[in-house]
Amino acid sequence: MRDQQLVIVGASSGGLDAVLALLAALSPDYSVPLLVVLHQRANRESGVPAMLARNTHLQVLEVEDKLSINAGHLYVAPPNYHVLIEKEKLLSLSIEPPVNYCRPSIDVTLESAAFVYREWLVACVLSGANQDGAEGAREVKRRGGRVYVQDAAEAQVGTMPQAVAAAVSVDGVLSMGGMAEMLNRMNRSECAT
Amino acid sequence: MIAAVERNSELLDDFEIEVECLLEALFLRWGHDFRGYSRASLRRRVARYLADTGIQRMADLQHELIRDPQRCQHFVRGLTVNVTDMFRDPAFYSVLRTQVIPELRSHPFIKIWHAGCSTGEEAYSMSILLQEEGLAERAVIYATDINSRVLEHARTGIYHDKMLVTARENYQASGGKVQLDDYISTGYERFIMDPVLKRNIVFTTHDLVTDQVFGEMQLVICRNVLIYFRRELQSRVLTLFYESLDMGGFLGLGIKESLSALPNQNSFRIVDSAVRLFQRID
Ligand SMILES: C[S@@+](CC[C@H](N)C(=O)[O-])C[C@H]1O[C@@H](n2cnc3c(N)ncnc32)[C@H](O)[C@@H]1O
Repeated sequence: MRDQQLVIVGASSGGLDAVLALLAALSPDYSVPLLVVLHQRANRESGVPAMLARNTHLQVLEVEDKLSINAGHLYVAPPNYHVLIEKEKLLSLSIEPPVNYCRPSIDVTLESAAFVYREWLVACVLSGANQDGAEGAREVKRRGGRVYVQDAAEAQVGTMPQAVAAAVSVDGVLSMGGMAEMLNRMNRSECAT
Repeated sequence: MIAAVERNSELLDDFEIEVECLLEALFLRWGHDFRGYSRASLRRRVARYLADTGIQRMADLQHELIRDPQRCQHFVRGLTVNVTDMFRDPAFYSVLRTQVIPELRSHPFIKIWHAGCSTGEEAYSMSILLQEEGLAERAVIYATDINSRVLEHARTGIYHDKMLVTARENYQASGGKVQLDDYISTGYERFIMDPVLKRNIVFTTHDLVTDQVFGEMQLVICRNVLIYFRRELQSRVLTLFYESLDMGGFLGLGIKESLSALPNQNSFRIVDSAVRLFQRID
């Protein structure tokens, strides 16, 4: 039943370290699918998936077109593509223009994920220097999902989580340890059902 | 629990239902078939169209689309994503140079098809590559798209300056032998491709969904087009490519596209997995 839920982690500058801290604090039985949308430089192969794979028990995949979303997996948005979510719980790619100067854009992914996962979607917005994610967070809340942000005091760059917190009433402002704890709890309660 | 799963996957909300009706109407009235397209992107495009035109209700849009061919053309052009780049994913072009060009040399006459070429940057990139490899004289590039407006742009060979920084970088990284600037002239915030490059390019409309095979190619390139299609349609188009290729012909897809979920993947073998280059198996 764990693939009923989806966790999307949006991150930009300073965000990779935060993602690593989050992964380090996930319990070994954590298996709700995670999709990481991290802003990266375009036009070169990304070392991020391999880097994350060395630091998590989850199976890490860079998103390819029409990949299906499954428990126990961590998906990473590739540079230079937007990631969209299809009703059939597949990941689609698009090269439509950058949004907020970003491709992948967190807004784009959150908007389409909110449409499919509704109250089963958890959005986490971490360190970053722009506003990407704020629009998307509105859509997530509108459709009954939950939004958490990294504590701006802890984030390397607080602009992005602050922009989200200004746009919607977030479900929590958390340290990476606290966010992992929240995800672990969610994973356990999913287990119980 | 079961009920919740069904709700998530089965229930369409109002807007989704309206999008489905719209697609059906486009097909029934005008034969434009977008029914096999991935919905997540389509939905964004339709929402954007409503916002841009100020049309409030999907019912009003549908009413117009069924009756007004001009509205229909305008709408259909807005449905496709036409973003493209020169030498996008430079690694793809370097693999073409090392893996495909040597094979092409053995052919007295070379046909290359760029399916979904958008505003033509890809076709000009190929034309440059063929020139540098000394194959331009015996090659024809068919550059096709469903959208006639982007093809008009492609024929002009004029692009905005802001593309130039990336284009130059990509050209160098792709193994370019001189300077990109040797193939363009600049001015008025634009650059224009050397008309010589156009000599062996044929720009023409072709719809991958409804149109047929039109020749036997040594190389088919279809990048970042299939990502807008659902698997069933991807698979149909893959058959079209198979039938459009000569024995042993090559197929280049976008760098994040894969054949592995398609039932007819076995008709191709992988030549280079990193840049998604395939070869027809006979
Ligand atoms: C995102 S662009 C890709 C351009 C280029 N190949 C690249 O990778 O940079 C996708 C193109 O596919 C075209 N397209 C969409 N549906 C098509 C169809 N059924 N037949 C032919 N072209 C289609 C669109 O009009 C658009 O120009």
